[in-house]
Formats: sequence, C-alpha cells, structure tokens
Amino acid sequence: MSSIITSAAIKALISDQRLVIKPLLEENQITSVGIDFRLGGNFLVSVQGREPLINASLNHEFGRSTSKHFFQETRRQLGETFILHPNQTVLATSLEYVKLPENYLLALCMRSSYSRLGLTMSTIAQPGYCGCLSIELTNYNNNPINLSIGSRVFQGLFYETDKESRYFEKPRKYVCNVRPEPSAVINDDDLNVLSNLWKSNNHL
Amino acid sequence: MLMSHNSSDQEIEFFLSFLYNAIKGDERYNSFIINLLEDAKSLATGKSVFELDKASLNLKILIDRFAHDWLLKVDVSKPSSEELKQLQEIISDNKNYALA
Amino acid sequence: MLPIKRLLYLQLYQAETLISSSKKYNFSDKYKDQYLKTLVELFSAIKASINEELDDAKIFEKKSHLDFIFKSLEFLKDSTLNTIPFEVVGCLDRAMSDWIDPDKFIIVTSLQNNLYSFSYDLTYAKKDIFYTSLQTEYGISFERKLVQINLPLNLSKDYLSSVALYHELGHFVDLQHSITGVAEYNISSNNYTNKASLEKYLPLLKETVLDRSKLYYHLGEYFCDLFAAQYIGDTLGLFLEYITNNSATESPTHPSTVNRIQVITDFVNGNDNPIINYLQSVTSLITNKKLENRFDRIVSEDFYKLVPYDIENDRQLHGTIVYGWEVWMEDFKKFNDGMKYDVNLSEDTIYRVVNNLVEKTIGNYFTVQNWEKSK
Repeated sequence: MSSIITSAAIKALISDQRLVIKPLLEENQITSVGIDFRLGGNFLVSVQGREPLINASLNHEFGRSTSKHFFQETRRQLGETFILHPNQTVLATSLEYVKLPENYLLALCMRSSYSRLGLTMSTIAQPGYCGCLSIELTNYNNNPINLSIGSRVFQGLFYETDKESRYFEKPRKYVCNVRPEPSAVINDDDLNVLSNLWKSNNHL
Repeated sequence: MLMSHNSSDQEIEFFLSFLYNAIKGDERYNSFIINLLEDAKSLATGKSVFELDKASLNLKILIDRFAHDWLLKVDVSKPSSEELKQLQEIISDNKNYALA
Repeated sequence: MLPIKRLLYLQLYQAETLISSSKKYNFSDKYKDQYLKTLVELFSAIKASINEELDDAKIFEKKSHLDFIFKSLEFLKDSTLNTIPFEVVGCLDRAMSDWIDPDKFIIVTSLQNNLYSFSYDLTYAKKDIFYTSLQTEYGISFERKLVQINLPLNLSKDYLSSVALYHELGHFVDLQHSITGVAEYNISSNNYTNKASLEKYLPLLKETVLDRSKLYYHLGEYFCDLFAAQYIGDTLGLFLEYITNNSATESPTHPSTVNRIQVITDFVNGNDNPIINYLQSVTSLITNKKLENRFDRIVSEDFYKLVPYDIENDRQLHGTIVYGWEVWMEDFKKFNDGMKYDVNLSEDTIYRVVNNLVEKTIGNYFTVQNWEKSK
C-alpha cells in the first residue's frame, strides 16, 4: 500500500543517498510531510509562433509544427525576479536537481502562500527520475505576479510505490534535464497509430 | 587573436596624433608624451623591460626600436617642437614595420 | 566641406541614432548603467567638438572616438540578452580574478552565429593611449572597461567545447600584463641568450631575418595554451587535435598543433620544456605569479549515477569541465555500472547528460556560495 513518507524517512533516504536533492540550501526545506522546492532560473515563455497553432497530433491538415517554435528561453540568476502575467503559462524547473529512488513517486504542487496569489501547477516525477523538476506554472490572477528566483514556491510529497520501477526501461525523452524542455509529445508512438487511422478514414 | 596587430596600428596613430597636437602647442598632451618618452629612453639606455611601467608598454618598445638614436640624443623631459617633429617623422616612416 | 569631413558627420549622426535607441536599455547592474551614462556624456562631448575646422589628426581622433561609441553600444546591447550562460562566465571570472582585478572590467557575453566562435573581444580592453585621449580631449574617463565574451549560439550549452574560452581568457590576461610583448622584445633585442633552445618550438628563430610579428603571435599562442592548461589540463589539446586534424604545419599566427600539444602535455606532466621555462620566467617577472596547475581532478562516480557533483572550491570548479571531458572520453557502459538498473543511454543522450550535469554542478556551486554569503 503506498503511503506518504514523513521527514525522518525523507532524511534517511537522503542520508543513504537513495534520494538526491542538490542543492538543498536549507535543512528546514524538509517539512513534516515533504520538501519545499525552490523556483529555478530557467524558463520557457510562450510566444506567438509563425505557424497558426501548436500541432500536438501527427495529422497534417494544419501543417507540421513543433512546440519549440512557440516558446522562448529566458534565464534569471538567484535573487532576480520573473514576472508571470495574468493567464500566462510558463515552463520552469525547480532550482534543485532531484534523483528519486526506484520505489518513490514525487507529487509536486504549489505552496499555499503562492497558490493564494492565483498561481497553479501540479506535476509528478516518476520513481527513478533524475533531473530538475519540470513545472508548468500558470497565473490565474488578474494581476502580474513578480516571483523571486530561489523562493520556495512548491512543495513535494513522496509516495512509496508497491514495487520498484525501472525508469530507463524504455528510452526516455527527458534525461537529467536542468532546464525546461519543450514538449516532446510528438514522439508518442500512439500518435502514429492515430494518424494512420485518420489517413485511412480520409482515404489519404 | 588578430587584435594585437590592429591594436598596435591604432596606438601608433594615436601617438602620432598626440605628437601633432603637442607640436601645435596643445600642452594637454605634453605630460603623457614625456612620461612615455622617459620610459622609452630608459629602455634605450639599458633598463630592463621588466622594470618598466606596463602602461602603453608596446608603444615604448616600438619607440625604442624605431627611434633609438633619437632617444639617446634628446633630453626627453623637455623636448622642443623641432625634436618632436623629428620623432614624428621617424615614427611615420617606420610605422608600417611595427611588427615586421 | 572635404569629403572626409562629410563622412565624419555621417558617422556622427549614425552614432546619434544608436545613442538615442540605447536609452531603452535597462540594466539591473549599476556598473553597466553607469557605463552607458558615461558613453552618452562622451557622445555629447564628441558632437560638441566636431566642426568644420578639424585637421586630419583631429578627424582621426574623432573617428576613433565614434568607433568606440559604436563598439561599446554593440557590447551593451548584446548584454541585455536573457540567455546568458552564467555558469561558463562564472568559471572564467574566477580564473580571471587570479590574474586581474575584476573590478576594473565589465564582462558581457554575446551569442554568435558562427560555430566555434569562442573569443574575447578585447578591442578596448587595454589601449591606454586611447583612454588618455578621451580624458585629455573631453575630460571623460571610464572607471571600468567593457570586455565581451563571444560564444557560438548553437554551442552555448556545450561545456566541453567551452575549454576554448580559457585559451581566449589567456589573451585577455596577456594583454593586460603585456606578457607576450615583453617576451617578444626580450628575444628580438637579443637580451635572451638561450634562443637556440627555443628553435624546436619557434622554428622562425632559425631564419636570417626575424619575423617579429610571427614571433609575437606564436609566443602569444603558447602562453594562452599554458594559461588554459592551468585550469583545464590537457583537454584543450584534445579539442585542438580534433579541430585542426593535429596539423604539423605552422601558420603566420599559430604554431603547429603538434608543437602546441607537446607544450600542453609537458606542462600538465611537469616535464622540462624550453618554451614553458621561458614563458614561466617572463610571466613571473611581470606578474609575480607562476603558471601552475590551478585545478583539481575530480574522482567521482556522480556523473555515472546521473547526479551533479558537489564542488568544494574553485580548483574543483575548473576541474568539473575536465571531469566532464573524462566522462565523455570513457566507455559509456560505465553509465550502466553506476546505476541500480541498466540505463542504456544513447550517445546523443549522453552528450546532453554530460553537458547538463556539468552545467548543474557549476550552477549549484555558485548558487550555494551566493546563498551562504547573503544569509
């Protein structure tokens, strides 16, 4: 039965080097039931591309476009700030690089101080994941929000799984990422199947 | 990596321009010129290059190279206009050989 | 009006357009802000001093002053980039401050379109007489000089090839201390009596007429290779060997790759080498510092475990890039050995992994330092 582990177990995992978090700037980031994570300095900001839409399918009735044409990279240093405009979604990462044990899943959500500002995100990292945590951050406030790079914006809960997973059993799209990467959805095998079906239905 | 050659050319041109201004009577350039010439003269009279002030060192080396005899005969602490004109001519005639 | 004067006016108004559009540059760094303010002040002074009575010498000066305005604005504009590779710049800053007072410079970075365009633009990094000209003519001085680091856009996250920048930093340090200038003078003025010992590495010394330009450039390249080797060992040699096909031919500006690699290898291994001995003596006489090993080799399985390494000091900081190279040059099967289950990473994935881990390792070091010093 999976359960959320608490601070003593988290500290033990770190001490055994089964859980890696680098850098852990303050010990008190380990809370009673999880870890506070900080906002990293790398962002992918949504921009108007030259193509009409982001095509998350392989059907070509709207032409082919890759998501990376719709995002622009920007960086900030620790202590600088980043403004998130109303209704804007950016791809960000945690400041911390994480390596998870093979039998723990990490569920990430906003810390309540930040969700009260109208910020939302939620993501999970699979057992065995290594890299900075990838975050899709959205501002639902009517006002821009100025965030400090390095501030504790997220919190993570660790769920023990009933058995170990082999993260690299299949080829992975995102390995040891240290900055947000554009979506690689287009590489999903199922899209080929669906596209073939569409072509067949449309006599293409 | 090509910057040093172009840099030398511009430094020489500026030095010639400074000489020109000093010869015309603009005293604002005198102290820089005299400091430079004094160091170049010490080099000419045997001071080790390692002991020279590094400011504009390449220029000092060049002046010693092109105008060694001039440095030895002139009192560089108060050169006359005529002497500066001689130096100007020497440098102008040789500037294309700055690092030849 | 003479054509040349009319062209000067053309340049003046071009500069004015650029100065005007520079007012939108927004720097959080007060040094850059101050630099821009001084530049605007300088432009106003140049403009006020340009008139139809200028003679040729003054036209040359004004033109040069305006060129400086253009170059500085180009540097400042590039520095508003929002994708600066802080990690690489951080490593270079630490190396630079071993040799130069960093407070005298503002370092900016520019991402270039050409591959392998690693360089420092040093156009106005020294030029004492130029700055004297500004002070004398207008009473304006720049407290700090602008230096630009150029990196190729497509390799800005490739830390393995950034080793070239340590060599380029060597040119910057050389310029500040006039090391090559003195080294060349010492030989060409016959003050150095052991010239024959250098002939293997400087074959030009055997010629009847000494090509001083070539001597200057070749000495400069050897110095920069040694400078880089202090921080990154023989990794620059690996890189050079590949991009020049290990050439045995020298050029007017560079010694042969074979000779350069020999010098680097001898330095790293502590072997006796006449070029090293000569440049070592010149460098220490001028700077009171030695060319010596300034990095620690990292012995760690961390990258094979797919985690960043915890750097402890600046010597390990520079050693991180060497570590990245060592991992890249090793058998990739070691990645399976480092993990509980096989990872079977493809080579292109390993390329990204190694660079990402180098970046994060370096980034974490600066993050922790900056955090601790601000507490």
